[in-house]
Amino acid sequence: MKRFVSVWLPRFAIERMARARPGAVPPDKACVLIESGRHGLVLTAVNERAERDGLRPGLRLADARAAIPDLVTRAAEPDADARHLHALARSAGRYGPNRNTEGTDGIWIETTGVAHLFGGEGGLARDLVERFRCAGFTTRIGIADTPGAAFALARHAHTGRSGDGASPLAPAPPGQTQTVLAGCPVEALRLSEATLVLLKRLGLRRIGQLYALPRAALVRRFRDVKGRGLTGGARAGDREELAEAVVGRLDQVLGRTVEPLQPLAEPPLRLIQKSYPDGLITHEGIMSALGDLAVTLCNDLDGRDEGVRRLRLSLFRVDNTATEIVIGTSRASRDATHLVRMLEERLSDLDAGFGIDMMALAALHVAPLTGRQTQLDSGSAERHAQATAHLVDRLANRLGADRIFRLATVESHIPERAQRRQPVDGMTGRRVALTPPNRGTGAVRPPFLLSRPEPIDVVAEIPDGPPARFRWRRISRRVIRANGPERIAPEWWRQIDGRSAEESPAATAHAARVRDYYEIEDERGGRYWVYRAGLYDGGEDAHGDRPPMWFVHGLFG
Amino acid sequence: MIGPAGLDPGGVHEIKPVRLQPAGTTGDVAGPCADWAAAWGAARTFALALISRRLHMLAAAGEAARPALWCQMRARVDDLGEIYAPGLAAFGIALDQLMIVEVDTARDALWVLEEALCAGSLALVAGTFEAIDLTPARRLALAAQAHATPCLVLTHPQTPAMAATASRWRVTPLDSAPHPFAEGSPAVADRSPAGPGSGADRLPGAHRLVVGLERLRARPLAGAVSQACVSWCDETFCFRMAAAVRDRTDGAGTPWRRTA
Repeated sequence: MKRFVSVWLPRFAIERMARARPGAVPPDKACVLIESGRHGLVLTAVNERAERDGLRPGLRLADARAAIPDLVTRAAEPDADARHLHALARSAGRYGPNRNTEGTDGIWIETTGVAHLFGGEGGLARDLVERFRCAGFTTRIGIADTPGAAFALARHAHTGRSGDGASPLAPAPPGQTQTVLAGCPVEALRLSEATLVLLKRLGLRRIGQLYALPRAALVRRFRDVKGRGLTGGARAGDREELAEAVVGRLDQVLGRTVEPLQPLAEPPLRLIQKSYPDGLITHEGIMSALGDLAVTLCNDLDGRDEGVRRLRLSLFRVDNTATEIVIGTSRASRDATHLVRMLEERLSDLDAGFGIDMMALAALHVAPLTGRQTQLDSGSAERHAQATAHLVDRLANRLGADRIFRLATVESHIPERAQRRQPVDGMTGRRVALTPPNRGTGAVRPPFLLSRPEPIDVVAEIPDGPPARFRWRRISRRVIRANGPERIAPEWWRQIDGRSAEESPAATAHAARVRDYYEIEDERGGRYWVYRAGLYDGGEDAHGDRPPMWFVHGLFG
Repeated sequence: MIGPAGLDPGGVHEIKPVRLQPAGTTGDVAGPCADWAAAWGAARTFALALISRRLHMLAAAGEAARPALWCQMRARVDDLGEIYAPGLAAFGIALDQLMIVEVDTARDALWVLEEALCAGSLALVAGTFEAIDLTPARRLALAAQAHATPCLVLTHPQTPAMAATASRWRVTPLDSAPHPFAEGSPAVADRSPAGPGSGADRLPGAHRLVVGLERLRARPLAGAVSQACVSWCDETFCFRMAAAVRDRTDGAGTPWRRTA
């Protein structure tokens, strides 16, 4: 179950101005922010004193002045407000990595699994309110299972209570969103003005009233409602869309559908961007511009002794669409030609449209990279390592990083668990001391292993003779030489720590059987690594009641 | 085998398995009935052995350590298995020396091989294919030559030979050499840890292959295919000339190297 916190700053714009310019907003006088609207100047924000005097955002300045002659007015600064809200959202990262601004005066934070760090959701909310209060902001907080419900609680759960003593926190305990929200007004559903008018006309004022209403009934009622003031929903098709919007929002709030959210992206560590007024259309033009950007970025990184690990190229087209390409490198690099070459491979199917008028190259992740001397050093090791790292980057860039790997051994007697793949970072190609395999002791391993053992029909001596004849992939093979058995017991500790329960029961039963491995050779020179799962006499085998089964597991060559 | 005294290090070498008939059938039987496992097994053994030799040669020449690249296709991995780390010890290839790339299509595999050759920093590049057309074959050959990196290509036995190769090998599996502890082998004469009838004569010994050289660019062959029966020694990690007939003992015991 996910948990979301919605922070609403009811007097954000005016409190921000009070903080940014001390003295601009006198606390003991009614003060408002104004902006020019369609019919003259209108109020966009009011301070606490003005609110007590009955002023509300949206009122015309002329009306407000008539009520309070000594009103202090300031021009609204929506751009500065947006910047400050963005900064607040960034600082809210302490409560959860996924967060972003919500409208012009709110922030949402996903706090799934975070609240215990603050001593529960109550503690988290108290911490949050206290921090915002120190910064000079009034807050209202809603906590719920869905972002929509948290939004509704933050903005509309407090209105019912009277006085300033109302708690700034409105939590919905997990799983109880529906009951808590029932009393909230329909405005909390984030619907358009026309929809709200329609809902009110139908007498639907509380969210709880919508719960029992079937979807079809709502659409029908919307269509049939008549009256003045419904300019927005004149046509029947539009009405249906509005009804769909209501149902869709309700589903999102109650968690029946997932609401897509865009969390705040981390800012790039280094960003180089350049605009091209004429627009780049040809591939050559784009590549040449990209080369310049990359050289600038690499020079910048050179001064800081850093190399890039993840790089993002953003291309903005003339018609306001954008494309992004992200590449990763296996080791820190500030080699402009290499980076450009990797980007070029991904650019091959780029649609430049009507031209590209801005390109931005951002280093998303950098790592320290001190200067390496490669020119005078006659030893080729470093040059080879560099070339190999570049090769790995290009392969991983096109095929995916998990497709290029080296093998490592794992301490396990079960053959299929004895190796794992690992990234090739820092692969030296150096020779290590090898122990020759012990031929004759039975501990031989094939160089090729089938991804899943294939069952075979076997004629073998009972109880533990090697196969004399077997049939694999519909071909009967006569065995002329054999070595074995090498007995491998199941790893009993895997059965008690519960990990095997995740696998299918059949796989567990299979893994739990004793295996006897044989290296066998057929008359055509094919060499196979086969095993018998289980024993003929049932002995120490937990599954003694079932007959043993034979499998091919590996191929020698 | 690959190096100053052996095969051309800047060339593409094609390895083809020989097609085998399943037991009990005669004539040319194609399709799912044909037994590919043994044939491919021999070719892959030969390829791994060549990789091992190349890595050894580089180390012996005192050159900087560099890894080899093995490119495998997803479909073939499902069919004939993936490289298994503990088994590489028999070929003397350390895990740090083998970089593995897994691809979905032959097109991707060709691209990987060409990129790897052009990097010029790998000891050897190897890949498995059904067949390679003229243009990609030529591209691989040029890349291998320009960057002095040998390229091994395993191709399907029934497809036509690849163009622009420096050499082409046809590999046939052979039953393995007698086990050192088996009766009649020289090792047993001294120590005799296994008495008669102990079953040691049924143990598999060293890998043996019949390696046929079908084409050699450096010295065109006059029609005849030169064949050699070799066995892979997993202690010294080199080939030996093997006795062709099972009952005969091993050859002189000296490592077999081409000097062409």
